[in-house]
Amino acid sequence: MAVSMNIQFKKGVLELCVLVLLSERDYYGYELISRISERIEIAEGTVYPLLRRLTKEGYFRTYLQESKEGPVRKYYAITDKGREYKNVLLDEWSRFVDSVNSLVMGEDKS
Amino acid sequence: MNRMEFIRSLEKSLSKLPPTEVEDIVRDYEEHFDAGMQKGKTEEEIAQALGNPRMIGKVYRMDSLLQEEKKHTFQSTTRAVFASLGLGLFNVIFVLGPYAGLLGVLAGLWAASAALAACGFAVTISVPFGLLLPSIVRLSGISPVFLLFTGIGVCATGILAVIGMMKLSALFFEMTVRYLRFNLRVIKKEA
Repeated sequence: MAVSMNIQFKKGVLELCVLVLLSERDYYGYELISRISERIEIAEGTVYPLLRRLTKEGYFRTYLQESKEGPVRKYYAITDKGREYKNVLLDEWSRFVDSVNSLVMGEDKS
Repeated sequence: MNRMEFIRSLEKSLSKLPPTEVEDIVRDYEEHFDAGMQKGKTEEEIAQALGNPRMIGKVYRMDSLLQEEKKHTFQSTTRAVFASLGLGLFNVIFVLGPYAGLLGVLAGLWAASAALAACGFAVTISVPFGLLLPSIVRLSGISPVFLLFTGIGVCATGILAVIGMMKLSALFFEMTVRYLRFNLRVIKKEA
């Protein structure tokens, strides 16, 4: 099921998703975008600027390799710096979700 | 919108970026279309899912502007570091040596002036000592009056020299401060 979200919010979450997915294994662009758009409704074209920016900032590196299907693809791999950044974002995200949940569910009141 | 239309629209919206950059970006989308079509999707479906190419182009332009800004601050910092390193080298090679030499000359002149004053003083007081206590200080055959006036003269010259040295030293340190300020200005200008 694809969930639709507010744009600004989605941008930040998209960055986190890309970082988390790439921390599990290397992906080429189309593959990575498919993984995300299975779950979240996005304009798929906005993932490439994100990948490019994070690569320039040293969170990812890229390499060319032939895919199983044949043609040469540009793969993205996370760096140590990227892993650190992912942990920071993930930490922020879980604290954020906890806070929202406690507000929405009214845990504090009971 | 088909593949060609998408790519063309994206290129148009990226036209302010350097050509190599544009080529690099477009290659990502070409690869994306290739991969999607291999999975059995039509050009239109893929373009639709990618979204508005002009909006995508705008994101790249914004990122590039931000990147540019970062690079500028980095460059100016680097320049300042190089300027101070260069100045440092220049200072060590061309300034430090003569500076140490001048400092030595200054110290020598100080010693000479002080010695002159001390010497004159000693000669001056030797006269009354010599006259009152000849057993301790024995004056040579030179006339005590001549000795007294010579001593006073030499002592006064020494004291004048010391005063002169104080002025010269003050000037010297003022020049030092000025030179250091000039260095700082050069480094700041580079930053």
